[in-house]
Amino acid sequence: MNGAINPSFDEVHGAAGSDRPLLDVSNLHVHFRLGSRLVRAANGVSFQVRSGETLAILGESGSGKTVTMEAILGVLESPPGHVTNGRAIFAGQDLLSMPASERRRLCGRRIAMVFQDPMSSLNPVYTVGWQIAEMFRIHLGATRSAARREAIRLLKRVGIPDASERVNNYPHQFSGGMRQRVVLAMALAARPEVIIADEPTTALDVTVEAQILQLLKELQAVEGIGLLLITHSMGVVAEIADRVMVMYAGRVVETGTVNDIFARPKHFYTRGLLNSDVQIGRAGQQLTPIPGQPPDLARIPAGCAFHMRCPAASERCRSETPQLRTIRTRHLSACHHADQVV
Amino acid sequence: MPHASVADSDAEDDLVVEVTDLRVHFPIRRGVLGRTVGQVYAVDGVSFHIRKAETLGLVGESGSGKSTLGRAVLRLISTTSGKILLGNTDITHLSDEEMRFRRKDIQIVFQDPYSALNPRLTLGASVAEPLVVQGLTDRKMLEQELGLLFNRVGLPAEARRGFPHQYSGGQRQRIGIARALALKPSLIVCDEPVSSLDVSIQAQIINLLGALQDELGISFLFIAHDLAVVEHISHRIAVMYLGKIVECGRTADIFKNPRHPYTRALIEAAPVTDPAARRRKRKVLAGEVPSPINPPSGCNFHTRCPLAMDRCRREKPVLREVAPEHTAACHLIDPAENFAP
Ligand SMILES: Nc1ncnc2c1ncn2[C@@H]1O[C@H](COP(=O)(O)OP(=O)(O)OP(=O)(O)O)[C@@H](O)[C@H]1O
Ligand SMILES: Nc1ncnc2c1ncn2[C@@H]1O[C@H](COP(=O)(O)OP(=O)(O)OP(=O)(O)O)[C@@H](O)[C@H]1O
Ligand code: SF4
Ligand code: SF4
Ligand SMILES: [Mg+2]
Ligand SMILES: [Mg+2]
Repeated sequence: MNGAINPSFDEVHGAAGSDRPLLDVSNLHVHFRLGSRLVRAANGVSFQVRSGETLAILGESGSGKTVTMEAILGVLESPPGHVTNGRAIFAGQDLLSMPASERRRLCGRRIAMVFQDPMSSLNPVYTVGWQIAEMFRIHLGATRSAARREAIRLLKRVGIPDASERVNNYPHQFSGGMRQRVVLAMALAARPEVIIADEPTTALDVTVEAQILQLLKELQAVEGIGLLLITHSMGVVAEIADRVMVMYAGRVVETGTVNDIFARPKHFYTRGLLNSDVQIGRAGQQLTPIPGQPPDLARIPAGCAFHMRCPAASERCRSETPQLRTIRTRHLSACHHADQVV
Repeated sequence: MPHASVADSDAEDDLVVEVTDLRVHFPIRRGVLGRTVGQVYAVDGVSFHIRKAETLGLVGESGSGKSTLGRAVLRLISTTSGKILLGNTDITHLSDEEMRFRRKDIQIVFQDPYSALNPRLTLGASVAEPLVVQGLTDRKMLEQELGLLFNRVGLPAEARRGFPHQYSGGQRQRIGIARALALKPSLIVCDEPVSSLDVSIQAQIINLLGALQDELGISFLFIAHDLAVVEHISHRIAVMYLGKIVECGRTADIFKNPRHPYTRALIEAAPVTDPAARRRKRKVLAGEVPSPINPPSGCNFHTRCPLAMDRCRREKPVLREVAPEHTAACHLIDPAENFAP
């Protein structure tokens, strides 16, 4: 899948010419006003997704992953949430400055969403076949019988056995893993260009997670879809991502190819995550956790938000906020002392 | 990583807990009369033991019966049949009153540290509660004990005056651990204690549990669905599937030489945190865990097992010793099958 990445693009500014990203987000800021508290959930997030590539957004709880996606798709709870700055260019238009209804129409068809809880995307009172067929009718104007045939085809595609029977079942007649397959079938129905999946396997058992990841990877490669995968699992990232964006306290702190991020991280937070991760086959090794805990987003420390937990924090880290800068080709880090990360 | 191996000694009197052929079946009732129409075979004939200062890891997918087993060992739910020995005492049929005196020997730490704490009590009061119940009421001694406990789990003594909502998940889990430690138990059942925590915090808690075992010689029954975490923390591992232990052995043996097809499938399914080792096409186990209400006949893994034979559909495999301290329940291990998987 690495072959799908065009090696010539520029990570921050987007490439010129034919190699345009499908989705190009820049300088996104999202704040929540909760009484006297101002929660800064996204603070200048920029990234791009290209067709056929998987970009993983990796970050611990509360780092702003979901809020970033919600803001782009226009499903942010508002109030209290507000997009205070930023652009999200999709199909040549800025989603953030588009009227809500227009954005929903555009996104509904061309950007599909998959959530952690499949039931949030399924309606319990309709059969799964009807729900998938509905996607064809709404978005592609298919006839009733054609839509039903397509629904069966897609159920087969996502690995539901006896698809022509199961098409008549209701969501509650499926297990968690099967429901997530149904949601994937619905996502595929409208032939999206981008799929945004927010922790799609977190609630599933390991054997089922492995099945779903394999399926996602395969669908995405074959259909040439740009996949934006939100997760806190480094295992999932290592299995499926082409590129990785690491978030901390509402900021992108590092982005690079999956190999660079795992083998040569250039931010002390990424290094700390890797050192904390419990991995099979390393039972004899000491874990070196990051000390402390992530900051309250209403009181993000000055300078580098990570400085209180960082083993290399200097005076400069306490006062000056590091900006993302290119360390090597396609590898960016927001660390003043990136060269010291080992 | 598993710590100082007191666990290598196998003297009988080192056993902290010994469970024999334990069953916990939940009746399924229907209708106005609440007639029993079936059973959930949540735990179905489980035997294991844990030695002093040893950690037994219990892994298995959702619904395999791990929590039910843990609760049954604590006598928080009643057992259908079988025997639980705590030290030398058979606690299987102790009355609640009698159990109160043994309660201090065995404690539990839950997955969700938030719901485990009373939101209206200060953290100090929460941790002191079991001490007070057991009769420690001297204010000064209590304060001193609390100071030690907070210190031991890596929290500042001032945290005693705080309330749960002021603390993060990881800090609350430290409180849960302090509370479990208060009565100096010989065994702590940890039911997914790090599953809801972020990786950076998870590693802190895993290290803390290891250090406590080294210092205090506590034994753990460590329940988790994350194979990597279990490998890291356990001396021995038991793998559960649909209410039964299908394989049990020393951690290294389970990982280097798994004998049950389900154990192998679990290891295979676990994501590898190394993109360089990414597998092009993984061997992924098909299907999902069947319902424990009508478990499959014979070997209850046969509906998903890539190696299932005719015999597997008819006959239940028994746990056999495949090496010292290593048992597995699979017909393929039967020497009569003449097949070494
Ligand atoms: N509807 C909301 N109202 C108020 N605050 C919110 C809302 N949604 C998110 N937040 C805040 O925004 C911050 C970022 O949340 P977000 O859900 O994006 O985190 P995340 O990275 O997706 O975490 P997780 O891994 O737990 O899903 C958090 O501090 C959260 O409390
Ligand atoms: N009180 C109860 N009444 C009826 N069925 C129950 C009860 N408690 C548990 N069960 C059932 O027993 C089986 C085992 O559940 P248990 O919670 O022990 O599984 P587990 O291995 O801990 O799973 P998880 O990983 O999801 O926590 C499940 O099918 C569950 O639905
Ligand atoms: S900028 Fe400073 S505090 Fe932040 S990660 Fe780099 S060294 Fe650590
Ligand atoms: S007994 Fe048969 S079905 Fe069960 S694990 Fe062994 S080979 Fe597979
Ligand atoms: Mg989220
Ligand atoms: Mg459980």
